[in-house]
Amino acid sequence: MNGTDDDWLPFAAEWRDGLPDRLFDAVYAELKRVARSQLRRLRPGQLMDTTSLVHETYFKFERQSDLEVRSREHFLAVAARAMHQVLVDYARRTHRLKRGGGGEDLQLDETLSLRGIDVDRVLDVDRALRRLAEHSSRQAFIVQCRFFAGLTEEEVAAMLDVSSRTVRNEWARAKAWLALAMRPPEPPPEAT
Amino acid sequence: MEDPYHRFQEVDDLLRRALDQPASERSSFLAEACRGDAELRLAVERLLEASDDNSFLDRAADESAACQRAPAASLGPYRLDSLLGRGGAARVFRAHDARLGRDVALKVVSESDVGRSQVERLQTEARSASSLNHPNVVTVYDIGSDQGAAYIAMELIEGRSLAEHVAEGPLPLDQAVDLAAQVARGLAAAHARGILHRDLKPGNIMISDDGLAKIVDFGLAKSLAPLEAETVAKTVARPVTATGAILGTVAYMSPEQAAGRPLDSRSDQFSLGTILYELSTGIRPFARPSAVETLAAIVSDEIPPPNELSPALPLRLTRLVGRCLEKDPAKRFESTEELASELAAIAAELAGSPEAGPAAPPPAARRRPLLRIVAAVAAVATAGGLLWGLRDRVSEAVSAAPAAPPVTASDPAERPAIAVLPLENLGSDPEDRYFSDGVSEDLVDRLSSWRMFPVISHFSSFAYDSRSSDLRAVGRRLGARYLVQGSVRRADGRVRIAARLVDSETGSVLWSDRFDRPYADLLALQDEIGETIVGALHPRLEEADQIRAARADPADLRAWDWSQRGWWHWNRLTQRDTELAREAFSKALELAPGFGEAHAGLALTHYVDLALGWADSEGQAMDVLEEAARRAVSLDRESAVAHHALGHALALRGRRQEMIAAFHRSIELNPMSALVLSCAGEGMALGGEAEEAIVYLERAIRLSPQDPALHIILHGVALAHFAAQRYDQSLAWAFRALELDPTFAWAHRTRAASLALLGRLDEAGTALAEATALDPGSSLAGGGRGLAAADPAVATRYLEGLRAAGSRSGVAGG
Repeated sequence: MNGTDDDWLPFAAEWRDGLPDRLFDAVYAELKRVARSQLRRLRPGQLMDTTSLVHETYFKFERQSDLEVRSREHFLAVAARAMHQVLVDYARRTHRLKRGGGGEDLQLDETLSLRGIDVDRVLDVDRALRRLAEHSSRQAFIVQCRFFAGLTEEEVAAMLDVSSRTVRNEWARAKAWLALAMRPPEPPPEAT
Repeated sequence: MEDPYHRFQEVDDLLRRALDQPASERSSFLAEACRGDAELRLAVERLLEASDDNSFLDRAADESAACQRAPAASLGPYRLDSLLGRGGAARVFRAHDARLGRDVALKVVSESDVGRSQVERLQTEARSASSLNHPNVVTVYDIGSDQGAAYIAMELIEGRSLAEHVAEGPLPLDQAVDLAAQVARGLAAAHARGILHRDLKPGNIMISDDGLAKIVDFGLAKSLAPLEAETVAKTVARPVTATGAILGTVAYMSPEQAAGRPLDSRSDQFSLGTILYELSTGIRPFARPSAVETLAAIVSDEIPPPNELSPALPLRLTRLVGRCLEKDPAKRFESTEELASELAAIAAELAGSPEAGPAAPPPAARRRPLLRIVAAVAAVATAGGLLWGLRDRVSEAVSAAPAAPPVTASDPAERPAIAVLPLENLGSDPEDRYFSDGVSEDLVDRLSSWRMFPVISHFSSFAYDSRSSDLRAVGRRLGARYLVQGSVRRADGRVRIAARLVDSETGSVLWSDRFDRPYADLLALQDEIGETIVGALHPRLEEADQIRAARADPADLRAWDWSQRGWWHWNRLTQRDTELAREAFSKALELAPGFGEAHAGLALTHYVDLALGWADSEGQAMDVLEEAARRAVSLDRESAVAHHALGHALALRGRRQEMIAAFHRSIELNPMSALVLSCAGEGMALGGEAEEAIVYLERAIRLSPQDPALHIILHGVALAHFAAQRYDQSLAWAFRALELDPTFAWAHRTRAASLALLGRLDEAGTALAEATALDPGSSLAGGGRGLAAADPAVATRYLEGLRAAGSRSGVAGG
């Protein structure tokens, strides 16, 4: 079943299908690089600061004329998708490392990268998000912006050109759908 | 399990409306809206209930958004340009002071993070530190506050911290001592004014691009100390992996600091001693698995003098380090000034002494010299617009590239290597595999011909998946810092190549691009990709152009295609593949009779037949080999592989001097091909050029550490040592070859000959018997073809050894 909300963003289709996109690749690479060096500097318990990552990346790409940054909103959307991917990559990697695949590569900075990110949760959210996206790419987009990229309701509202109130409602719905999908299966009723 | 997204549109729409109701009215709203549809109502209610589960999603978003807002565009008179880094509660920005038109480093601490009283103390401390004016201390320009944040404007250092330098590998001793002497001067100046640092560590020492050491954060540690102590207390019990950041600070503390006693200037001396110890031995002396253990070690552990770990260390330096690291402050230097002048004297001695070697024996993982890495990075950073990835760095303390020293190290194999992972074949036809491999190999060749960086042979790199996500591990295993990965698709007369260049150490993408061209442009496209990569890694592209080996590409693309198919089969080294390779090269030559490298390929198929005993008629095979090799050379004088084939032909003919000349030429043309190096090395080993052979063979091993013919290369080294009459060495290398392939008869013979000449005749007899059992058809002269071009003196000794061995094994001499 496909949502009817395909024209909610000028670049909705691009976002949904993950079309090859130089800007995405570039932003992804930059976020990954910056995230890696930032993670090394984090203190225990500090959250990885995805918000400032995304914003600081914007300052940089704004001046990048050969990559098509159409607008601040367009950039933030691309960056949110890239940030999502960076976090998922980290989570997968640390997950693998935790399970002993490639213990020799378990370096200090890799273990530091666990800080502030609940790895298992990132992967769970990612999994649930993929399914949600099949039904509402718009809700999935909001999750990406809010949860993965740490953007505010106001910023998301500007991207979608709707009110903050609308975003808040939609965000609540997305969270509910995700929560439902992420719940452990209920135990079967006990046979009597 | 039932689908949670069942009836999504209906349920979601109802959920939207329910959420718009005040919480108290939702239930009645739903009852009304879902009249008669219990399933729908249940679904919405479950969602409303579930939404409470996921408050963590909110937390992440809001904490992140609330406390880590994007930096205000300006703070006080400063325009914030980019984040350089963060340490503790502070963030450091590159900022611009419009009033004075200068760039500064702006350290910002937010009141909401550390509290108002902390901020005030920080400012007081910074104020006293700002009275310092010394070249080895970062100058504090200005202190202020704005928008609930305190800031300190400091001199902006174009460079990196000592910690970052050390992480890449040991510094040369003279450089290390020079830096330490500078730090000591800075410390002495501060101590003279009664200002302590209290947190001296490599991360707080900046090295500017012109080699000046500058101490950062003077006195700031004190004002932040309660914070640190609290964090230490929270984390001391955890294992090292969880407390890396804290350990970084704890490991350089003085005993009096660790014990919480009052500090004076001698505490900073102790920290400097710890840094010097680490710089000169590569060991952080008190680092233990946890912060508690580290603190305990600082207070009570005696550590070995540094010259026990680095015997070459001057005694004077060892004494100085020992004195700094006295547990009792009274036994350290009376004044830091005294420490500084003693260090300066040692630095001067080292600068005058020609054999100031590396400070520490380079551990295996750090064997690449720092300067060359810096050179490579600088090269990347200056190579133009494509390389934005390393320019205008946002978050690392490197804000400008150091001046690039020319990349002309004596042994190119020591430079950071580059490896091309097999490009992924996205074509629908699995037959296209040869095509994608061909493009990858060609890329390897093109990169090799620039002679800038060792290019890891495709034999080794092709063992790895281009899609591998753990590039760092791949890079380490291959001994290559830079990796090229990507994909190729051929369809509808077009070829699409996506490629990127990755620094496997940092994971950063230095360059990436997609190309979509008509198939006819493939050759030009490969050149372009090769050139761009080289451009990315080389500081002076125009020079690369001049030294690039001229290539004679066939006009006819289909001929190239056939020849790629040929090389692909040729590399597989089976009899069937060798035949298929021969057919493919012949087809290429039908289309383009003047295609030199296809002639060379044809020649080499006959060489494989001869070497592996598949030739129907050896005489005929040798004739074809020589003729094709000569054609190849005459058609393409610049082709390494053509000269290489000719070398083999001449070796088999026993023309030693000409063989050596041909192999020399092949290496001149492509010094980075493991294949060329290993064959030439073997030829030269037998030809009596033992030392040169060893250089080539060792380089081949480095370039292709997982070469399928590695046993043959190792055996080549054995032959070279044999030629040089180092029989114990030849024995050892023959063993290494046999470890990889115990059925390698030639290596058994070399083992036998070496043992015999070492006088161990019984063992020699056994070895020869093994060789004969494995390769009964061969005469005693074993690998007689291989010995054809050998230096007569070497061949005679080899045969003598075998005869002596044969006398003990009952194997008939021949």
